[in-house]
Amino acid sequence: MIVNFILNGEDVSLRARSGDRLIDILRDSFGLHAAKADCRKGTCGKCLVVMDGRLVPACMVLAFKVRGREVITIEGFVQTDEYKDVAEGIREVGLETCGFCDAGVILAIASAIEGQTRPDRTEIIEALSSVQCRCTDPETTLRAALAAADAKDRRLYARDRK
Amino acid sequence: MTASEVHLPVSIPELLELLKRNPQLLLFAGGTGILREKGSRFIDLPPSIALLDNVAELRTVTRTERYVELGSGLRLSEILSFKQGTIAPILREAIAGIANPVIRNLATLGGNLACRERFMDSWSALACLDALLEIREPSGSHWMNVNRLIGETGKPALPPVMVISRIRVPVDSWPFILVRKLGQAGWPGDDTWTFAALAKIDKGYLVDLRLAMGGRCGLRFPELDSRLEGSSLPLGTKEVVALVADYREAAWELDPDAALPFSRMADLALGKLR
Repeated sequence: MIVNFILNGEDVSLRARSGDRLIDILRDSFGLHAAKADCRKGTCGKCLVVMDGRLVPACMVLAFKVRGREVITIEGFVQTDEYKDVAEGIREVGLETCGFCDAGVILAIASAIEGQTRPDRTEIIEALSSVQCRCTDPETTLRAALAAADAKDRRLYARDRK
Repeated sequence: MTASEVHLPVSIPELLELLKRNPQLLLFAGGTGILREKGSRFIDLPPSIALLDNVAELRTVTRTERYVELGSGLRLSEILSFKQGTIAPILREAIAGIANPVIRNLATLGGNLACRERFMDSWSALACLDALLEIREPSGSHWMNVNRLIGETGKPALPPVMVISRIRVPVDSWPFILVRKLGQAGWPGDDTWTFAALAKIDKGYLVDLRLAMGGRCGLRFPELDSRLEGSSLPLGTKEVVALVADYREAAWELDPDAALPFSRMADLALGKLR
């Protein structure tokens, strides 16, 4: 089947089998290797991508579900202002992500702080529960998310004042 | 490895027509249940699939004074994002306990209910609420109490060829709610159960009590639930112990492995009313 979708802002088209998972399409057909295929059950959070504005595990999305959708991987997300907020939060608290999970951790933090209102600790913990990284300290990840929320507030305030 | 034909119906009549022509058609909504069972790289799918994403009728929300009707294609995260008071708190709590936020961004309420192998997390809350399911079949449609999904052996007994289109959930207020998940975390196993309890209290009297537990079988015993109705609170220890023993016996009849978790949870729920 031919699958057309928007990937990191570009229209793309490829031939895939209906049973192919999005994570394998991203890695094999587009060379986007930041998201990893690990559990293939949607629990580890290493393959997170944004699909139509929602954070989803790419291992749980089949090729035919992607048709006509917009997908943003971490490679696309790093081009955005939202990424700068997350990066600032991570830098501020000295969070060292493990490399295997960092795409998931960054996107999960971004998802935690994306709403109109500032999330509380419980909401952030809930959002971060989508990533199971054994080598990154959860408390530091939480502090990074809170610092990222501060960075976002500062950026939006500066933008509104202009 | 077979190539599957993927249909993209945009309405329920179109979907029913496809089902009529091909009763083996796989209805694919969030797909999380299907994919989690198959951890392999490539998913071998049936020859025909209907993707439900474009069926607008499955994504509607209607609210009246007495109930809210949820389209079965609503994603769990969408339901959780409704403002407080839109859905019963017990259902919200049960849904919030399902998997993780990113799975809930894909999984749908209908998919959670349509699992043929076991009762998933939302069932026990909906069973307590006496929610109704709109079942659409090629031959017609009808409303069915969610408790009627329990077959004779306690296993899910869904009509073979059907679409759950809407879930009608009463919105009355329940001052006492309890939801507990038991057993292994993550994808449910044989020892995974979701227990839910509701109680209505008026002027110090228990006026309604409903307990349900879902897992590899569904447990709901309205005749036992009603036994303490009209009792003054706090409930007496003796009557609670007797009722818990009867719940245990009833659960044992259905599935011996369910007896202990159900009676423990019943004891916990009734203990809070003691």
